[in-house]
Order: sequence, then structure tokens, then C-alpha cells
Amino acid sequence: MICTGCSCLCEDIEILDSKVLNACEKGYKHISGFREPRTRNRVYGKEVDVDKAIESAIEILKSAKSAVIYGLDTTTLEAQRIAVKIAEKLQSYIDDNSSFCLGEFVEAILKKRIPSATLDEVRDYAYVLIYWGTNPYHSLPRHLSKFSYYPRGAKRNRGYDEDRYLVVIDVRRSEIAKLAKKNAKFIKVENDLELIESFEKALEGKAWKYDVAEIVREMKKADFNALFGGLGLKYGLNGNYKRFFDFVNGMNNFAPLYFIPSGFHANMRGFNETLFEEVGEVNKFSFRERRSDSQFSFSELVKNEKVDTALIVGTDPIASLPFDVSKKLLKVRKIVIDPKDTLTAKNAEVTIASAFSGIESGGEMIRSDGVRIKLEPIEKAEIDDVYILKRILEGL
Amino acid sequence: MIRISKFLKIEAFFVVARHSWEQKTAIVYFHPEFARKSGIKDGDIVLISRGERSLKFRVKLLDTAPENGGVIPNSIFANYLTDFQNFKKFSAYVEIAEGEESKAEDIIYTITEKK
Repeated sequence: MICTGCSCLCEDIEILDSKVLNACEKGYKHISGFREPRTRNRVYGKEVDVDKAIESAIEILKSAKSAVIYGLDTTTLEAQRIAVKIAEKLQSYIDDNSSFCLGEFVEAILKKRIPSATLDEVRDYAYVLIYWGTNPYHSLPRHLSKFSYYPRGAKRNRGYDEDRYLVVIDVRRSEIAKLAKKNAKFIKVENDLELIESFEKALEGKAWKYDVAEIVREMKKADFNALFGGLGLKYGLNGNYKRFFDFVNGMNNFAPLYFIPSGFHANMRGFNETLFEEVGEVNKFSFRERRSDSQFSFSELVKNEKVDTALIVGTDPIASLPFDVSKKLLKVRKIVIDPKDTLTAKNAEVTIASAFSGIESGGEMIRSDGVRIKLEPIEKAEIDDVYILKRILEGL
Repeated sequence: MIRISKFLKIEAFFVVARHSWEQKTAIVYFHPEFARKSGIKDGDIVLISRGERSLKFRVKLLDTAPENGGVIPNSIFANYLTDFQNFKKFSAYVEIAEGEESKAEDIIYTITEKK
């Protein structure tokens, strides 16, 4: 089966006599723990059947003055497409976690502002591997063993201590930073923009705040290098994305460097691509105004009290967003579609119990590098996100 | 015996990071050296305060935490103390406390009271 525990979407998971084989700890917990604790169909706290919950959701959405559809990063492309149709029908906003996660990077890749590659190409060809502001040990536990550092690839067949050069950039010596010993470098970064400047100066043969001359030398040796950027990089850039994209493109004048986002939920990239195919934008989109804008991100809409209703699919914003958003979200009418009884589900006006995508429900997802993966569920639930969203769309 | 560190309020640097196995309980991972200097022990309860908000966390020691503070797993507990300007890292005050770590329900109650 395919593990939907993170955006690696590992395809080599086996279930043998109820045992989960080949999964990392995160994937193992995701797959083996899917039966409990599950949410229930509820309307204003009272348990109801699924039909009543869906009808109530439709009534609430019909009466909304201003609605937002949010989440969708753990569901399938098929469900995401229906959610986009609902947003269009309601002339509402639609957004996902990428607006505060790695959406800017995916947007740059889809709009061809920076070069990217697949993880399979990384495994076969990449020499310098830069992990910048990301710790896959926890976020994408098999990233290094399946795709980047450890595997022997078509043109990288001598093992990691000879055929890979690992660079870890972080504010702390994380678990993967500890791997940076032989043929490797750890940079403890305090200012990401100064580090970019240091790379650019090194290309001119000058020393700057951070010592990166050796990294640049190693990159120039290779015909394929990869940079994996995570949330530490995003927030370290403090909004200066263009500066970073110029840096990546500038490096490519000297040595091939491909950027791949590192982190996020199983199908966050899928949401970005689904919306991009429909409207040419990756997130925070208003169907009423037919454009994307930072003021249309879920957090800004909630904080600025621009929405009275939220349809939330497969995510837990009360737990995952800062306090000033969470407290305002409690004032918004919430319809939650989720298999898990999250804090947001517990505090929603309507909760509709759904299935775990990839475990109880099939469809497609998109890996962090843009590769489409067909899910192989081990069970088939009658009621999943596609079923629920389709009925909501029909009811509207 | 009186622990002098019990009366200290120390400024610390925190990183908010995804942590595979701890999201449902209020846990802070301090760097062992920071904990030693601050008189904090594994298993202690500490009050972490940022601005007007504070929560109690159970202490664990981890050598991948920043040397001048700790890691708080990405969770409702971390997000209660953050804002988008300081979403992945922030400074806050730490003091040794009594009792148990904060629960998610306490935060929901607090948010509901303040909404």
C-alpha cells in the first residue's frame, strides 16, 4: 500500500497478518492507528446519522454570508477537485495549509520561476544535498534513506560517504545535522539572508559571514545538486522569496541546483496543483474576486472576521494555527469533515465522519516533488471525502 | 532541600518543530547544557511565558535542542504561545513550576473565555 503519513507517499508498505512492514515510525502510527479514536457525525454536539449531518452542512453553507473552504491536504485529488467546485458554486474563498507552509515554493515551481526535479532523479544523480530549515528525521523520516543520502543511484553508486555531499542548514544541531560529518557540512544559521549573500560572495571567490566556499566548490564538481527547503527556510526568509529564487537561479549559472520543497502533509502539493489547474493560483483564492491574495488566506480571513462559515476538510486549525487565529475561529460556524476527532471537530457546529484517504479510500495524491501516486487502500469505506463533498455540492 | 533554581525566571530560545511522537501532550525538550545551567531536571514541570500567555510543560532532555533553550513540538501548546511573526522560533521566559503539564482542553477553555 501507499503510506499517506507524509508527503513522501512511500509505495513499499506491506501489511502482513495485520503487521505494518517497511513503514517509518510516523507511517506505522498513521496506518496502525487509523481505527481509533474516530469522530462521530454530530450537529451542534448531538450525534446524528450521516444524512442529517450532510443536510445540516448544506443548510449552513446555503445561509453563509461569506464562506471559506479550508484544509484538503490529507485528502485525494478527486476530493480536492469537488471542493474547488463547491467554492466556485458558493463564490467563496478556498485555501489550504500551504498558505502558512510551503505554498510560495510550490507556486514558484509550478510557475517555472525555479528549477525543480523529482526525488527519483535526486536518488540517481544528486551529489550535493542541501537540507535548509528542515529536519526530515521527524517530518519525512524516510526521505534520506529512500531518495537522497543513503540510496545508491544510477550515477551515484559508491555510497553516501563518497558519492553524496550533505549540507544541513538549521538554527540548531538537529538529528540530520548530526549526520554531517565526513563529506558534509553543518551550518548553524542565524540569518538566512546573510547566508544567501555568503553563497553569492563565495561564487565571486570572496569570504563573507558564513564559510560556504567548500560547498560551492563541491557543487561546481557535479552536474546535479539538490536543495530541500522547509519551514525554517520559509520563515527565515521573512517574506523575501524573490531574493531566494534569484539566488537559486544565480547558482544555476555555476552549478545545476534543483529545488524541492521538504515537509508538509501527504497531498498539500496536490491541492496546490489542483487549484493551479483550475484557476492558475495555488492557494488563498477568492472566487468572488477571481484572484489570490494574502488577505484571502484562511488565517487572515478568520483573524479579520471576513468569514462567518468554514468548511474544513482533514485538518485541525484550532491546534495548528496561532492563538490569535484559533480564538477567532471559535466564533466562526465550522463544518468539519475528518476521520479523526480533532480539537476543531470537537468544537464544530457540524462534524461529518469520513474515511482515511489511502487506507480506507482510494484515489490519487501528488508527492512533494510533483509525482502523481495512485493510492492502494487496504479497506473500502462507503463514506469518504469524495462521497461527502459530492453530496454537499449536489445539495447546494 | 530548597532548589534555588525554583525561584529563577530565565529567558530561553525556543524552536517549534514537527516531532514524530509528541503532539498531544505539553512537552518541552531542553538542551541538556541549558537545563544544567538553569537548574532544570528531566521530568520537571516548567511554566513557559510569552507576553500575557503561559503554559506548563513537562521537561525532557534532548541534545538536538538549541543550546540556549529548547524544542517545543508543533502542537496546540506551541501555537498557543506563537504568532505568525514568531511561528517557528521565539523567546520566552521559563520558571520551574508545580503540578501537572497543561492540557489541550485548558487551552480551549482559555480561548473560549477570551473569545
